[in-house]
Amino acid sequence: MALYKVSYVIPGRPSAGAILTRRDAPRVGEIVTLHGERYRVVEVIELLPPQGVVHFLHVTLAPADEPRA
Amino acid sequence: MVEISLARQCILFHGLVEEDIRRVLALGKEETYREGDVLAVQGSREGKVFVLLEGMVEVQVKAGNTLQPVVTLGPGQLIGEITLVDGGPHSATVIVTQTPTRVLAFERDALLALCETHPRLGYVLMRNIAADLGFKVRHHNLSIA
Repeated sequence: MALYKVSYVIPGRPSAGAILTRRDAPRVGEIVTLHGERYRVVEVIELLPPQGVVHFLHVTLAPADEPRA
Repeated sequence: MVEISLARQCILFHGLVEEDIRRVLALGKEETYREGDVLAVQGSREGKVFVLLEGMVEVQVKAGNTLQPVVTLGPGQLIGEITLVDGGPHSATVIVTQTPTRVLAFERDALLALCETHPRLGYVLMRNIAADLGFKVRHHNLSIA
């Protein structure tokens, strides 16, 4: 059973980020809800090498209603 | 008692054999909170450590006369681990932001006593806590970059 410890960051809003552990890997384009607001995943990178079943990922988010680059 | 399968989703228990997971779980007390409840107060010496099982909390620190949000933590995360490793007061205030939020609450002294009597278990717990703190530092650095 893989586990994904994920650091979510919203550029320009350093206090709005989150750290969650989830059982599925985040994907670019996925919509997540934080603090009642919807965000789109724009980048997923490996923050650290996996340790056993635990993966350490960093995700950059953008507001879901923001036009894609 | 919290099930082993749920505990294995929390980084604190990563690398522990089942017998040791049960030893740690036996020290924990399952608690349920509602949005707005306070888990920890910056500067208090309650000495409690929490594992977040379900829900969300917001970590806030004093900035002048107000509390500023730092990060939101979700299931699987540790709360209060700094007070476990350095014996100092809580470094931040932690507010529940989702109803219900379930935690496993530990008394710091009980966890430390278990680490003393079971050195391998203690090593793994401290390693996992150090890794968790390192991850939080990396997250903070990336969030202000």
